[in-house]
Amino acid sequence: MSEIRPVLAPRPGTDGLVDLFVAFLQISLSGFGGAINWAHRALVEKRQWMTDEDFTEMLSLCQFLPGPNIVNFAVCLGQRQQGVLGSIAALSGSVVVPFVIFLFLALFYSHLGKIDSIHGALTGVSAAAAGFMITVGIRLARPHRKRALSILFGTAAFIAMGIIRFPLVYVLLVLAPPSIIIAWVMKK
Amino acid sequence: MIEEGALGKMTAQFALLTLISFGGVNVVLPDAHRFLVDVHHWITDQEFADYFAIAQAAPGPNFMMFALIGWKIDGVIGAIAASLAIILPAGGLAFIGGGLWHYFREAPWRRAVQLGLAPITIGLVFSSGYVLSSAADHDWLTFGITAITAVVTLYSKINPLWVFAGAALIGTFALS
Repeated sequence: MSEIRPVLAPRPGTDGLVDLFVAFLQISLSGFGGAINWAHRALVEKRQWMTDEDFTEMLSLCQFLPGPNIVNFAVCLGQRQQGVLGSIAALSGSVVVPFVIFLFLALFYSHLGKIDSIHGALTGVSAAAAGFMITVGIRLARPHRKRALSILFGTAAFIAMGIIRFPLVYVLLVLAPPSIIIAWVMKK
Repeated sequence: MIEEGALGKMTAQFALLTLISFGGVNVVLPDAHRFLVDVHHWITDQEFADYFAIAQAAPGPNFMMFALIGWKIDGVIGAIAASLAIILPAGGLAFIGGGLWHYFREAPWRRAVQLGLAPITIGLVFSSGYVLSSAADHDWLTFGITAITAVVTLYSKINPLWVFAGAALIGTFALS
């Protein structure tokens, strides 16, 4: 059921830079419960700049790089579409406006956390965020569901990180080398 | 400013933390807490927890928490310095890493790396969903919100923001 969709080419020049800025602004402003979910929606489903496989590939890269995932994602996708200016446009979209909103919130923070209804709303939003994350997981997993080894390593990663809660660094160090080596050997 | 030299120390420390934050900045929060609260007493335990909650709740990336810490330490300048310290080193490294990764896109080894990493990445996405769910879902109502959100976002074209608005509304009236 892996849908093969055409990947739309970005518009050239300044228009493309504006597109990148706007896309990452939307992603960061709606980023309840993890910007990556909204990145998937904005970049794969709505704009069709990448396929599910492209998205997984870039997310793998961004998880391996240190720093906030959304920063890495903005830099890498911006670079691929428009070079260094693209990176700057995407990064600006994802951080500049939220930063201004944040300074505003900083002035009022002492009032925010103390209202009970806000805690209730936050709990509701967190519960929804968990569901949205699961949806993105299912979408990304679809193209890989027929490869037994992928199911094996995916399940191992889930158990190690989600259930046992090992730190990400160790999970990657232990699982990535065998998974890559097996993929390499089986291709030959 | 809280104390002489605090801005410089904070900026250097954040720049270092971002370069070791494999898997996102949340993994270095314990270390940031140790540095800011225990070692330097620049912010209190309660402020640290509040900043974290605001960063989770507000629109925008969660690492904006560090902007709030910078704000506390040295006002607007501190907030800007803290944000740049988190963003620029990681962004620079991503630019170099992303460029190399793309340069080798046709190399056979890169295809193996990509195929090998994909299931792990997807397993980690499910882990995040599971961790979020076990933190938020304490009763049938919150569990129901999670399940309904997953079904609706998977099978309908509705903008998930509406689902989140509904969840916030239910939470405000039923979970407070």
